Amino acid sequence: MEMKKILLVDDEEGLTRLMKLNLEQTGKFTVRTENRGTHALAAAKAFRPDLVILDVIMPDMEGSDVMRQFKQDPSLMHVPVIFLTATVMKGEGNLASSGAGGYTFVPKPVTAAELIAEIEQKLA
Amino acid sequence: MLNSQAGHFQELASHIDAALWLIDQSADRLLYVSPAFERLWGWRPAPPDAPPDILIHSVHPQDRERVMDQWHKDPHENHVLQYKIVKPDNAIRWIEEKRWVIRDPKGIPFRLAASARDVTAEHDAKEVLELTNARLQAIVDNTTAVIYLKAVQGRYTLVNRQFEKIFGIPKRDILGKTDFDLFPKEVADARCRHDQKLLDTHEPFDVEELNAQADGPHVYLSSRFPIYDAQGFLYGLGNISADISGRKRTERELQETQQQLIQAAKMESVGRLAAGAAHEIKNPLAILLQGVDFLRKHLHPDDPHSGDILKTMEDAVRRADAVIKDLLEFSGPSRLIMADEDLNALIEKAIHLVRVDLQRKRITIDRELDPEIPVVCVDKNKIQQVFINLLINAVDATPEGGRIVVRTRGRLTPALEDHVQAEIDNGGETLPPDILEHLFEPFVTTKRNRGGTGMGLSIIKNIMETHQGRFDIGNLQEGGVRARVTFKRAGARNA
Repeated sequence: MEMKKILLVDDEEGLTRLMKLNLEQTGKFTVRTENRGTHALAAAKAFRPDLVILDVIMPDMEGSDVMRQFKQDPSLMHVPVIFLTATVMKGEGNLASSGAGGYTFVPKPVTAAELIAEIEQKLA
Repeated sequence: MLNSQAGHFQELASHIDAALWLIDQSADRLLYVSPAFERLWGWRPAPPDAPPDILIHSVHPQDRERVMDQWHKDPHENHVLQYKIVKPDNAIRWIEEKRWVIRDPKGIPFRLAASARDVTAEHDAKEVLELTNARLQAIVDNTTAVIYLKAVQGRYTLVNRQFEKIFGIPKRDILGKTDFDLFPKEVADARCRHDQKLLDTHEPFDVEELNAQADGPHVYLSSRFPIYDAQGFLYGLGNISADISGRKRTERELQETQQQLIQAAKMESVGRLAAGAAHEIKNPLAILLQGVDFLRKHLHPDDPHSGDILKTMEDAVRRADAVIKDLLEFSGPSRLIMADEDLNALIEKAIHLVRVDLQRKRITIDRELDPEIPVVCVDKNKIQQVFINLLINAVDATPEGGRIVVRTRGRLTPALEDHVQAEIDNGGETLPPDILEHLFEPFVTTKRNRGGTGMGLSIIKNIMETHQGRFDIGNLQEGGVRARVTFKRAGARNA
């Protein structure tokens, strides 16, 4: 099976490092991490991910702004996005993901298994 | 003899203030007119030739017909009448005339005697009094204040239209009655106490009184005051009451609004703090959880402890996350989506949602649900959350195989007739006083070691307060704890 490429953008360096380890040890994903929102566009252009995981709140650039940049780039506009959020609660996350736009919000903290399930659903 | 008597009579007649005259009925002639007549009328007919009806020329035209009728209606009967005369100088005077019949020894009428006096002063005084009374009545009747006067014995002597209106009793049924004739004993007793205070002190005072009216209770500010007669003796008790219910309500609403604003401001700052804290705490928790996941995949098969340790760490992360979630729930803005709901149905749904916990501890639910409970206007999801939290608490407190009683009631005491209640009695132990006292404060819990965050009851209290409802918890005498939520029934809210 072809390895899926995932770009993980979160300002928490510890989190991106561990998530990368957990995702890659499944043998299904290649993960590139980026800790600055402002660098996400360039990283995506270079990496050509199959899916992007975006933190909603980052100090230099909000996740929604990063996504807006992706939407303006023809090579990235159709890449699925999963938002990681530290403020949305479980119930509200589901609510948001069912809304228009089809964005998926995954609340922190999330287990590796839960995150993988979300990714696989999004890539299916 | 007769001559001397006539002389005495004329002497007497000429010295009294009243005018006197005698009429010979058979001859229709005036026999005698006393000198006082001229003083009153300003002229004097000259008997014996003048006919008695010559007197009518002085009667005021407005009264003439009435007086003629009276004079001729029944000439053989005594009568008294009042009328105005116009004197030659055009002055108008009020006269009271008395006529009586003089009979011969056989009892046959043969003469008429008349006396007349000037009653202008009495008449004017009466007119002034009537005018004053009419003015006073117009003033007291055209105010929204409730005004009444009572005699010192407590009988009503004056009530205004507003009094009739608010008590729904016509004036004629009030005057002369006491409070005990008009009102229930407890009301009359209260009113009498105020009367007695006035009788004891003779000092005016103000008092707030509650009055049950058709549209509900009204608050009145009553000024009670003594009334003295010309000699300075207390002879009446006065009262003027103004309905201050509107003012009271406004004051109360203002106070409530202020409280709500303060509370909202407090909650908003707590909410902002909680949202900020949540973000800062959830990121480290996310790292911990990912770390636990990673380590779990790399456990050495011979390591007897690390699996347990990782499980404990994961539970700790979950618990910290639950605290944050509750904190956000507690402090977050709660926009309610209100609709009329059946409390019994909400409880059944909540019972269904916790059925796994009930089965796990083999706990039985005894339902005492009032089938005729009125609907309540609530946010279904929030109230469901209340019942789920209360049921989970009850399950936690109740020993294995125990019972939980779930009760709803629509017909409460008269003071709570607009309300409905739901109660959940657990089968556990009673709560110690120090816990009971601080129960609704955040982070107070009896099950910290079992994953409790201590936020559940604060959240319930918060939800109930946003529904203008009540939340109470108390120990049951026979053991166990009762949680009770009280709602206003739909339609009774803000009434």
